[in-house]
Amino acid sequence: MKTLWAKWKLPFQFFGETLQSLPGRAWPRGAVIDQMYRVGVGSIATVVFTGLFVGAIMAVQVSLELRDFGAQGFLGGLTTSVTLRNVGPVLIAFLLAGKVGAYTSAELGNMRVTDQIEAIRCLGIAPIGFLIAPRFLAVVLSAFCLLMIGLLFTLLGGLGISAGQLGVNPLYFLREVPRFVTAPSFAMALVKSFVFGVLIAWVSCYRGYYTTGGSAGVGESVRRTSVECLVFILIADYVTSFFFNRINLFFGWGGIAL
Amino acid sequence: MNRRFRHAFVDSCYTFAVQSVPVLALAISFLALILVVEFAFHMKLVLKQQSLVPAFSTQLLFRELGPVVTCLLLGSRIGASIAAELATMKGTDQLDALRSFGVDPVKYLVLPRSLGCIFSTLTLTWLAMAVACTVAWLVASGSIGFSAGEYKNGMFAFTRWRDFYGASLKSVVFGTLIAFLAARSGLKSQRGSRGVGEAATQAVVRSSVSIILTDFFLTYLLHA
Repeated sequence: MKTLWAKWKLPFQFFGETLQSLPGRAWPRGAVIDQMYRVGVGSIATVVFTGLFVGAIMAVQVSLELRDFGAQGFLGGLTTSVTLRNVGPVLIAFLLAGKVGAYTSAELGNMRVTDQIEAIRCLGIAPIGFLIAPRFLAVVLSAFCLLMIGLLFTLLGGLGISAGQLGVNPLYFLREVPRFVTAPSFAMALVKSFVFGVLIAWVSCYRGYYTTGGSAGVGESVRRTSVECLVFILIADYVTSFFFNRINLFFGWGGIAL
Repeated sequence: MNRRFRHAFVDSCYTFAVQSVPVLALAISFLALILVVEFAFHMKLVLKQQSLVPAFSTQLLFRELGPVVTCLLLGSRIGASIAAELATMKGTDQLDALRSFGVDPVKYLVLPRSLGCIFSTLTLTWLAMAVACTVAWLVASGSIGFSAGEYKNGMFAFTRWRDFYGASLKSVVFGTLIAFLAARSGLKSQRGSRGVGEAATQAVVRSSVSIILTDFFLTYLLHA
């Protein structure tokens, strides 16, 4: 039991140390902005693209399900609600796990196997405050912003495919959106984006920092980062949905009795 | 199909398919739970009742999320490992050594891994859909007011064999894409540990983007 805890406490210890080193701001000036530029700006095109397609896929699926009931009037509201609450954040975060998470973990892993992290330690600087903290912050911030951009474009993708291919009037599509997408749903999208950002940052920094085994080890940590991010994102998605449902029930905002 | 090829194929099936089962089962169970909870929410919003939750959530699982989420997960797992392996071999001149023996690295290394990748995406998509249906049935029948029999009867009301074949086709196409893109980024990588990291990252990103893109067209062709 004690050895199991010794093995499992390392990620939590790492997370704690990273959070503790955040207020100290021991990193070079502008490191966060630099890192955000590197991981964030290059991902905007990918996220926009994915957002458009995720929205379009969900619009097609929802319209297939509604077609048999002759309820196409619900298309706009239902598509936007399903995408915003669940499918959108999850699929876009999957993509960011590769684009942002794997990039960060490869970068840190490369520093580890070429002994750059040891070199920083030799200079008397704590690597966690100097390297990990700015990257952690940058990944959280850029993942959150990118998820917001992606979610905006899912709406446009759904609108585009409905108007262009499924023959639904765009105004008709948008009219039902406010009735379905309520404030709690919107808050849930924000909370999920933030939680997924923290998860991606945590996993990628941890896996990158503790890379072992030369250049093959870098590949191994990239693989582990992306797989673990995906699994934790799905788990966090369920946990967030569950708690939001409980909160909605408590305040009477229309949750379901589980 | 000589003996050496067969061994490489079986090896890659083992590392890609069998060893992915626990992590995939965990992820897919949570996906099934999310689907039930969210569909219950939306059905209450639209129809004011929940009798169609099992039917709709199974349909979305078969048509869309089953193959896509499975292949995104396998895309990171398999794609990154193929790309990292090939990039490591390139960095240590093993590919050049193979070429100097007159062995084509694509036939010798990439082909068995690609076939293993396609095999794993196909079989694991079937497994994932089975696991998801079972988990949804076990959990939902206990918690959102369905009896076990009701949920089971309602589950496949809208799902046809066509949807199952569609999911299989999707997973084969995604598996081919993952193998192709991963092998390409591995073979074209730069040398050294930086190149390995870049190749693995590229494989993950490219396979996920292309899965989502292809999924849209396949959904449109198959169902609309």
